[in-house]
Parts: sequence; structure tokens; C-alpha cells
Amino acid sequence: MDAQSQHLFSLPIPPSTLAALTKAGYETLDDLPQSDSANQLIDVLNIPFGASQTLHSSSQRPNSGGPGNLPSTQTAASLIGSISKRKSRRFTTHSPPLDALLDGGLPEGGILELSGPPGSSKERILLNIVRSFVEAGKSILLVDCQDMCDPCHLDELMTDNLSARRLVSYLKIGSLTELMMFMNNLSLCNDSFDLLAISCISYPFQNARPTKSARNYILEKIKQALTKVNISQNVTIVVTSQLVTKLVNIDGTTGNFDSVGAKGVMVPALGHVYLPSAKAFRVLVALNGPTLDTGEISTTSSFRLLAPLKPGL
Amino acid sequence: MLLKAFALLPDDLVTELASLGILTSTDLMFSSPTPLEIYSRLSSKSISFPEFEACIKVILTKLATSGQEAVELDQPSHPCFKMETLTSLDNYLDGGLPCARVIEISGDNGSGKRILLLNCVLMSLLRNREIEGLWIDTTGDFAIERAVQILEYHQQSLDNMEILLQRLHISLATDMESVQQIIRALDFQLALQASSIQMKYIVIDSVTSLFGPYLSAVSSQGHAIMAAFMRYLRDFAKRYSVIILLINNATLMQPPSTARAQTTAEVTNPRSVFASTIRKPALGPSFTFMTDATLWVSLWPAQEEDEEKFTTHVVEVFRSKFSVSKYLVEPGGD
Repeated sequence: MDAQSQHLFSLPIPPSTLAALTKAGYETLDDLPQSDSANQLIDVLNIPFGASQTLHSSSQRPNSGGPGNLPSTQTAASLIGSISKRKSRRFTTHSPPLDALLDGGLPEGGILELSGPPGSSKERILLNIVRSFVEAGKSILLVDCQDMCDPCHLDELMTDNLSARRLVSYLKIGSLTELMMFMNNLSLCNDSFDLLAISCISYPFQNARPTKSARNYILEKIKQALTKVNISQNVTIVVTSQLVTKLVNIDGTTGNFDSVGAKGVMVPALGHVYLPSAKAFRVLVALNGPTLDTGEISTTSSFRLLAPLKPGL
Repeated sequence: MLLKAFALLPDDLVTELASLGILTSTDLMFSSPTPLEIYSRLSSKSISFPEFEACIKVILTKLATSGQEAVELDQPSHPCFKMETLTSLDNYLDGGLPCARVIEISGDNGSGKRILLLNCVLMSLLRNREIEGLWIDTTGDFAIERAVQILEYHQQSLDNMEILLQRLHISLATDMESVQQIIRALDFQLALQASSIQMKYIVIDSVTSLFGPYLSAVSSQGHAIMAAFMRYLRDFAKRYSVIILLINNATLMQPPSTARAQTTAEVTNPRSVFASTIRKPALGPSFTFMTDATLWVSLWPAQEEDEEKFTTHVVEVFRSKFSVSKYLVEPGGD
């Protein structure tokens, strides 16, 4: 049997284009004509520009050469060399206990989730990390889902650093739909940035209240988008999230308000599903309650690193 | 296939058929019960009816699959390369995992699937100095330090390690399109240079994250993409005699609840080494039929007297097309 060609339905083209091509009788990539007649075909069928680009690049004949010439592939031996160079740079969070918990600071290319009750310092830490990156001259994309930090406030925070205005890009997200659009377009973004800071990713979910399956689907999509951008462009990701109450029975299974002896536990709102990989740091910022210290009432927070998932959960 | 692609058909016939609405070979063969009916609809009879029938016959010959005699199938064309895994598993599988197959290894998080495969692939590369392997990493979790650790445990010097690791290629691909590109590029290269590269293994780490986002309850396009890609992988494995290993995660299994009983029955399988299972391989019920074997790896709960440094894992063959179940029922007995 000859080598099978790729079916057109597996390419990322819009459904209207796929329908037009199928109606004209084209099922696989081999069916599409090469070069000039391809352009004619695209005009005749009225295929949008983006889809025609995809079709063109997918039907390109790959280069010859050994497996070393495969796209995005390198030998394991070359990876060894990069181990020693991988003493990755650490960025301080300007909060010594958190820095200690993270073994010196947030590593470049790492993923950090900060969750905590309202009033805990997670947003402040997020802005501290942004400041760290600005001081190092890195570019940042700050996504604000809950209206926590507008550009004027940011400007005030970084008055001492003149390049801040140039380095920090600000994006405001109002609803779950906008968040999904953002995640979809994340990998297509032309301008590269070094830090992606998302302020309160759980807030759009709180308002929209999607069904359980829709929620899982969206979280998987977010995971895919974040993984892609983290791995391919080595972007550091910092996310803050609110907490929800989860009721746990004495034996550890999920309970509800009617179960006897159930305790309420505060857990990050979206769970762990949306985070790219097991190497993400998940930190819970807990409020210690007001203390009377030299005549003033102050609140302190304590940080706790959430344990990695046990198998079977 | 489009009729335009067949060079043997005269162009004017193709245009005439196109005006009748017949664009592909499927249309030509199935749109009407006899070829005479189509011929009668042609406005200008530029070719005779026997010639038209001959054209159809040519198309059919080109599209049909050639037959094979069962005798030929029974004799393997060349000695089969087997991948050795664990000793007891190899004894059961008659030497190891056979080549030209697609095998799924599934299990929970932390059950040891990746490390098991890494060990097996590195040992194979160590024993056989001409073969190469490709590891496609979709989650970014591949740690080269682990590979170095394993090779150090087997007393390999740094130079040997470097030479060996030159033969292991690591790709980073987070979505279906990139994986398709990589494998099709490899297909093209292997087709050109048949003997110089001995690619024997392809491991796709976490095929769940590749297909998972596409599968949905409201559309079957994701399932079609999965089925088409799996079919392509099987064809690839057969053509080049490679072993393709897919790592799959696990999901929660809902135990069946009978309408009459108040309590739901626990899922048990008396032939399984696990007392009861609540986890099953992900990607739905049909994925296991798209591969040639499904192996399940699980962490065995530690006994009190075990040392803390070691963890015990269990591998069970859930389903396989190339090995016989130990519990094959003897005739006349249970």
C-alpha cells in the first residue's frame, strides 16, 4: 500500500474551508494541486488567507537528511551539554519566605501559581515579580482578569524604572469568552515576551459558571496553550487564583454539607488541571490573622507549597 | 481520489464527467448501479462504451488492495526485532515486544510508565549499536538527567554515553500538527534512504494530551482525527518495521450500577492482578482497539517491611494481539 497522505480534516482549517474542499472532491493533501494551480484553486473556492497558508505549508515536501533534520528535534547528546548551562536564572519575588520556598526565587521558564483568600498578598507578589523582570530588562505581558491593577497604578509602582512603560504590555479580560480567545491566540502572538502574568485566572469562571464538562474542556485548552508557550518560547508563567471551599469527609472522599464530620478545606479554585506540568510550583498564601505588634495591627501571611499529586488521585 | 489525478483518463472525458457532477472515483463507481447508465448520460460520445468500461477497470485496479495468500502471511519475511523489557514480561511475550507494532502503555500519574520506557529504549540502544530511536515529548517533562542516571547505573563512561545518546533523538511537539509534521518528515526520509538509518523506536510521550482536547461529546471530528492518525502510525510501523510506543494516561472508571441493586457493584476481574480497579486507560473505549497491545503500569502499595528507597511497580498486559492469554480456557474444564 502506498504511503497514506494526510487527511484534510486533520489540518487546522476552518470548517467552511473544509466543507468547500470536500465538496470539490479533495480529501487528502495529495489531492491538492501543487504551486500555481493551487493558487487558482484557492481563488475559485474562496478560501481565506490564513487557511491557504496552512494548506500551503502542510503540503510542502520535507527536507531530506537524517533524523537530525526533523523539525524541532535534537539528539539527547546535545541536551546533555545544555544541562550545565541550565543553571537558570532566578528572579526574586521580593518576599524572602517565598524566595526561600522556591529555592532562591522564581526560575526562568518556570511556572508559579499563587492562590489565597482575598486580602492575602498574592497580587502584590505578582507585581513584585513583574518589577523583578522589568529590572532585568525582560518584557512582560500582564493579563488582568479582575481589574486588580490598572496601567496608572502600575506606572506609579515603577516610577523609578523608565523602561517599564516599554517593557510591560497590559491586557484586560472581561469574560470567560475573552479568556478563551486569548488562550487560542497566545501561540500565534508575534511579539515575544518573557513573562506571562495572569491576575486572578479563576474570576472569569466564577462569573460564567460553565457546566462541569465545559469547564474541564476549557481547562484542558488553557493547559495546552500554556504548555505550548512555556516550552517553545521559554516563557515564565505566574498565575494568581482564588480559593474555593471543598468539603472533605473523614475518610478523605468528597463530601457535602450534610455529611457528618466533614471538614471544609480551602483549595485553589481551578484545581491542578490547567497547569502545564508537574514542575509547576503551587503556593498557597494563607492569612495569619491580625496581630498586635508594637501598637499597630498588622496581618502577616504564610506561604505553603502544595504537594505534588499522589498517583491515583 | 479525484478523477483528474488519473493520468490514463482522457481530459475531455474528465471534464464531461465533471459537468455531470462526477468528480471523484467514489462518485464514478457508486453514483449509479451500472456504467451503462453513466455512459448514456454523456452528451458527446467521444469514446466507445468498451473503452469507457476499460477506463473504469483501470481505476478499480489502481484503488483496490492486492490480495495475499495466507501461506505467505504465516512466514515472516525477515527475522523480527524484539524490544526487551522486563524478564518475566519477556518470557510471557516470547522474547519481548515485537517490531512493526503499535503498543500502548497506560497508567496513572507517577506509576512509572515513562521511566520504564526510557529504561527499555536505552538498554536496547546499548545492546544494538546500529539502531536509533525517536522520543516525541508533548508535555516538556523529558529529563535528560534521568537518562544519564540510568546509563551511569549501567556503568557507562561519559564518552560511551555521548555516543549512545547521539542515537536518541528528542523532539518537542505540543500539538497534533507538529507531531504529524515530524512523523511525516521521518516517513519521507526513511523512504528515501532505506538502509542507512535504522530507526527502530518511536515513543510518543503522552498521547493523551495530543488527542484529549479533540475528543468531545458533540462532535466526532476529534475521533476521526484520532482514528486516521492511529491508522497512519500502524501503516508506518508495518512499512519500516519500527516499534511505536504510546504513553497514555488514566481516567476514572465509573462502575456499572444495576437498576435493581441499591448499591453499585465494584468492578472486579478475577483474572487481573489488581483486586479492583477504578482507573482505566484514557481516550475512550475505542482507543485500545487502535493499538496492538495495551499494557497497564501501576504502583504497588508498599509493604511495611520494604525499604523506603524502592518502589514496586506492576505491569499487566490488558490486551494484546500478539500474545496468548495465560487463562485460555482448556476444553472440557474451567
